[in-house]
Amino acid sequence: MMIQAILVFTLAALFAYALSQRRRSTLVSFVIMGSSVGGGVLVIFPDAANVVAHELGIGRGADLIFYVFTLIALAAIFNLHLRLRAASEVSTELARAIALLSARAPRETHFDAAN
Amino acid sequence: MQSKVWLVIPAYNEARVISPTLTDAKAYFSNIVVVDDHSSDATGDLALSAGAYVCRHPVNLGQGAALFTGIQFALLQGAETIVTFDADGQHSARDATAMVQVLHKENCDVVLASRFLGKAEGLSRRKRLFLQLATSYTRATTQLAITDTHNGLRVFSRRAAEQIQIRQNRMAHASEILEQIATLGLSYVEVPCTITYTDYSMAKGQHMSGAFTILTDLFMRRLYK
Repeated sequence: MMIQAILVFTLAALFAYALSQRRRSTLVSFVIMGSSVGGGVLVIFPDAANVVAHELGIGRGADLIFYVFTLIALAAIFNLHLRLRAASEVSTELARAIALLSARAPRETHFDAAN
Repeated sequence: MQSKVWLVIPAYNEARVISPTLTDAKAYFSNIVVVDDHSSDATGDLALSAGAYVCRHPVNLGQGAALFTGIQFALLQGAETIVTFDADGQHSARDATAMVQVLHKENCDVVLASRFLGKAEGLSRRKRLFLQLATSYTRATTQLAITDTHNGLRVFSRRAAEQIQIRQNRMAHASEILEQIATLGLSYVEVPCTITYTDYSMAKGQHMSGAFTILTDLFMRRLYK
């Protein structure tokens, strides 16, 4: 029972956080909220996973949860990858601007890097 | 005309060779910019002493990023013709000059160098095979009738340099440039060049394992173009 309470509390906190962040990324927020609610239901009613698994033609509820978890984890990794690439492009632009603004000229040349 | 021609050299930890490379290049080009990609050695200072302009990245970004920074710098200086050139001394400044003349004579957008139309001195059989496979891949994906890919010696007109946007920071930029030449419909000419491989340039250059990284970068780029 103790572990159920901890899991439900954690999922509720995750739901609240996703709800607060829904303006930043609607799709990701809704996926997290949906996963939190689904996870909460399965924590409170563990047998429900078996029922749904049987309906979907999967042997055990634990297998169903593992498959769903794998899909969500892969989607999260891909989303993170895209965000990292976007951040990398921004930092490249910044580094380039700094390099262009701080360009140095050979000693005999008069040069204004800002131009 | 010479004052409007800029040589762009990306460099990362090339202190051992940057001075002789620039001494040779200075005999043919008066405007040279070296993009120091956050070297931990004295590459930037040596380039400056040898008479080049130096832009230094505040962090290491990769050869593609350095090349694009150099091209942007040259455009800001009013360049009408931009030559890209390797820092490790394997390219010939004489070839580069001839390529600039071809660009002006043919009135095209880009002149590409080919070691397989010219000479590749000291090229191992394994690396030759690797480069030929890469060329076949590029020919298949871009439909460009080229005989060499991943050759850092190129000449761009200002019009071409303004349109080409290098977003591949690492080594995949070479394929990216060729892809853009194809998609932008830029006119190009391929000419022979001589590449002189030394133990130094072979050690610094791309390795076979880099091919996997390049293919991964190109694939990921297609996912979110």
